[in-house]
Amino acid sequence: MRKRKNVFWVALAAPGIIWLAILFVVPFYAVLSIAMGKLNQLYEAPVAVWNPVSWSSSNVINVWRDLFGSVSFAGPILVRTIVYVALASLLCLVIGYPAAYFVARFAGRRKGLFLVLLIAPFWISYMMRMLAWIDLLSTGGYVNKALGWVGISPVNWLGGNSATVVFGLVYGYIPYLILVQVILTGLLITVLPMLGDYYTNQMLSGAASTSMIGNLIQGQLGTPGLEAQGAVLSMLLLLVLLIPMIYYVIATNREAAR
Amino acid sequence: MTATNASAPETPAAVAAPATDTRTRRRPWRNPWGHPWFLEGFTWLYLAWSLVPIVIAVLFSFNNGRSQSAWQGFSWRWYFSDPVNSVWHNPQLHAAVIQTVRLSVLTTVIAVPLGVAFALGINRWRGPVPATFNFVMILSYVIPELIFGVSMFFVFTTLFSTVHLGTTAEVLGLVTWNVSWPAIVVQARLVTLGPQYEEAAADLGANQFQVLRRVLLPLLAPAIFASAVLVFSGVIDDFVIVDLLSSSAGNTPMSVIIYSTQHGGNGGPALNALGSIMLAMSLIIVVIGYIGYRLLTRGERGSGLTALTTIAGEG
Repeated sequence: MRKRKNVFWVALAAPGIIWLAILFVVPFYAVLSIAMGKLNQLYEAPVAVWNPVSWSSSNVINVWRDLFGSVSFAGPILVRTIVYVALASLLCLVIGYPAAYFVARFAGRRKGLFLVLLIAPFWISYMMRMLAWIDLLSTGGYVNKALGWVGISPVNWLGGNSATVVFGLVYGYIPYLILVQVILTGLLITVLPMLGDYYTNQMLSGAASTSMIGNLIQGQLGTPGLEAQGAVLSMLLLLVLLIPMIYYVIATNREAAR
Repeated sequence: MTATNASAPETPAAVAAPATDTRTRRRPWRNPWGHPWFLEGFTWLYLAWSLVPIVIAVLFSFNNGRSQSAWQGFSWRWYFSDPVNSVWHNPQLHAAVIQTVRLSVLTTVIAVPLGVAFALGINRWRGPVPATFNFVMILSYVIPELIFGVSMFFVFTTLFSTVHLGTTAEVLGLVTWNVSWPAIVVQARLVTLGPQYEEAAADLGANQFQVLRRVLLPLLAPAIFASAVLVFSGVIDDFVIVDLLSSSAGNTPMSVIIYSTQHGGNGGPALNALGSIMLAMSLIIVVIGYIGYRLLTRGERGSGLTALTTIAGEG
């Protein structure tokens, strides 16, 4: 009886487990095998090496040189990413916390209304939210018009302005922070996706002078000769983020268990 | 602030908890300044900053002209009147709307049963295998989307290259990315339900299938429904996975069209129209989700706010 019962639940879980194994675990092994693999010199295509015994570290060494070597082209990108994400998270906290605090403690009978308005950005496509700001920040847009009324000449907001990129990151990710009441997990839920963001940057700037680690990885996909480096970079990013990710899972479980 | 943190955690449902409210009333000396007008003003400013740009963008999708900042009269031009550049007549934009709907339906239909079955099984099956995969499931929930998308891109261009980039790859990627919603939402519901209903049913002679069909699934219906709403609206708004896994105009959904047309040049008001259509789709799903969730949880304790936060994925 006990045994049959067990088989029933195993059979229910099995499709999900098989799916995750084939389409989540195996893909990560594939990225690892490409990162530790070789390059086909003729086609400049990455060659995955599936057997860990014959893994080569040449791709990793190349990326490491790019990041930290003496002529590192990726070093400034790394520093820029850290600065942008730190600034944007700090601004998210400074802007988001008072609003969240007010709604949690003082909104009283209007709490429902405030909550609906705070949640609203979740239902609006991220791209639509960026598009709205592109309209406003364009040369003849409302922001420059408003500046014109107070006598300031139009600013080129789009096309390589660091301030715009940080602003876009704040605008994009602040709703997540507002709905999470614990500061540290709230910060994590904004920092984790910001580090893998390439679209905010690409839409609001698109210039190499503001590109972040996400842009670097995304640009290497589909570029002959560079794909393996993209694989290495995304594995490195995963490695760095693994500890905050696990912390986030434990912290949210603890909150939920309370 | 500590009071809020201690009593309420994480969810806006908890933001809505009345506990903090009564506490303020009982101890007025803790807030000697009365109503915090400054904070309230700040909150309204924040909300205006967060939502007014969207209202403007939607408004200008109805502009009878190309300008995004000078109103030239109301028109449906960018939706269907313009014979070349409207969403209806531009083949790329038209195809994008259809592709978004197709991806949302396919992903929901596959991911929800998969995730619900996984949650039920993993909740009862003890051992290292279910524990490991439960962890993998949670990992798939918190991993940055770019890292996941990169792994999908590589697996479909090398190991599983028989699955070409395109709709199939997009659906496989989206299902994997979204299956954690039903899995996590249903598991949370199972934990709150406890084993007593099933045990009672088993005592009355129901076998496993009957327990599942007659007892568990009806009790889980609100959670399953909420997760379906989350998956569907999540796919409408998804960008990274579909951006990395789409291959041609025929399989590019709306979010990617807005992104790729916009950067580097002004895509014009037809993009605003496309974005407004996405917004309308999400709103329809929210309304359906809200009404459906309230109907399914009739007779249970809980407010409209709980329903709202649950279908927003924060409950």
